[in-house]
Amino acid sequence: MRQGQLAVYALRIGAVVVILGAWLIASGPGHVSPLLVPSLPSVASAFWQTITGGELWMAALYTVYEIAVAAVISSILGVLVGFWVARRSARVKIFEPMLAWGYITPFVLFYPLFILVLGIDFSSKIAFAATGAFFPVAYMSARAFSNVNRIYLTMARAFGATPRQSDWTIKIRASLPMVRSGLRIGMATCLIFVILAEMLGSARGLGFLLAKESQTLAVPEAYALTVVILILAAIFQSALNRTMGGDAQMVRR
Amino acid sequence: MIGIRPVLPWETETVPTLEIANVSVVYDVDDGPALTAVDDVSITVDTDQFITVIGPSGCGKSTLLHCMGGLFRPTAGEIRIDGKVMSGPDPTKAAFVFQEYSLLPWKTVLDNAAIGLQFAHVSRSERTARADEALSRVGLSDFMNSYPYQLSGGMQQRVAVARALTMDPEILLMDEPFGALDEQTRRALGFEMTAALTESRKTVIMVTHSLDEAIFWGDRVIVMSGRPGHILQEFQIKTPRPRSVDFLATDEFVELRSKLLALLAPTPSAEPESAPDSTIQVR
Repeated sequence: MRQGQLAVYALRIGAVVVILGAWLIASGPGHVSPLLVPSLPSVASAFWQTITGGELWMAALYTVYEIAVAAVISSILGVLVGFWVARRSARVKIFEPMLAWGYITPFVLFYPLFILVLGIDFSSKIAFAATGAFFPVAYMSARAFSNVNRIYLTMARAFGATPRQSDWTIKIRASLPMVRSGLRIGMATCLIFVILAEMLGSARGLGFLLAKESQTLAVPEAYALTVVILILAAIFQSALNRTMGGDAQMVRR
Repeated sequence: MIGIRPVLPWETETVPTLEIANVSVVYDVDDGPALTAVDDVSITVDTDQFITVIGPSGCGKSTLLHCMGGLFRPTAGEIRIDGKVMSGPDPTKAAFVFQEYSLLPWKTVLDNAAIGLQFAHVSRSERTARADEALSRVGLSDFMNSYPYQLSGGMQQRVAVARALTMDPEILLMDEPFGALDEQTRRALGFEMTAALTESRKTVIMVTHSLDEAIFWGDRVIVMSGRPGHILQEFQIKTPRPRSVDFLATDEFVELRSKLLALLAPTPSAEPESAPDSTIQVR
């Protein structure tokens, strides 16, 4: 087990080394234009300047704030709507395909509309990200609540559970793993949508900074910001894993 | 001094534990004619009796069992337990042991066994005490804090039996409780459970596919016909319970087994008009 874990870490480090090696070759002997692949030292110094400057942290705070608000709104609304849909089989028939449709729709098409209605400030980004994240959360929640193993519900009824007890003791608990995956997808969607929205139309946030650096051909700075966003995503992912890690071992066979 | 009052004749009459009176169940089927699953079935069961119900797949025996537990309401007829009509599930009267694995995977063995008491708002300490007792009766007191996924299939079904016993019901309703287990486990568990259930002095109704199980466990074997399910015939078994493995080699077992085999043989005219040695009713 421990050896396996070591091998995983070694492979991960190996992958980073390979990427950095390829980068060094491309920017050195490979003669790839510095507009495409800037030299590693220039990115490193830009990275240092970026993280020691005040602008990045304000932008990061702003972005994290937008993601958090959008995640809270989409999670609460998504789970509630999913639960409401799953209460009646007729509703499942009507709404589940609509939620699935919303799930796969490229919402970026509607972003100009969000800006038009809500302006360029943070409300349009939050509404955009929350709407995009709402659909996977609601769809997965509806599926989770409507697909609880029938035998658990029959058992509960046979053992005297009231409908409310059945909801709280069985339905909600049994659907938790799938609701959790919906929430994970929803939160990842928030991260993607907020940064995308900031890149497309905003005056603040990490996405805005990245777009600005790219458009002004400040390539090392753009790369440095990309690294920052990658680190942010990794922190986000590990937080999700920690808080949303399922109970996979409970599932039979 | 108080004199002893003579017992009047009507006071000695006991109410049967379970009365199934002319029960029929008709299902509405989407885009098709209504389906009669159970057709005019009447059974009377006294306290402590072990009844096994056997019949081909889809003969309505599980449906009938679900009606007895108040999970389905019969389309016609009535089911009474201790003289009271069953209008909904009441696990203190009739508790189920289901065919499928129905333990909640996120609850411990103890909490699974106590689930009915939890629904009835019984205090945690009493829940624990009663579930503990039921679990030791099925030989699982060492596994109270385990989760279902840590138990074998046979042990899980024993928890399901304990869950029903925790409710201290009048009647245990067992729906092919060991159907998902392999032959070996099934037989071993059968011997163990038959002893435990005889000891607990419960009235048991068990639906099964297995002829051996039906005869080995039952005081009475009720044979149902294919759809629409009605009672073909009923047999009494005289050897007292709990029975040892030797019972499988007795004339009573072997003869009854061949009778059941003949009755349930899949022939084009599967339902004999009148089978020999019928003890109760042939419709």
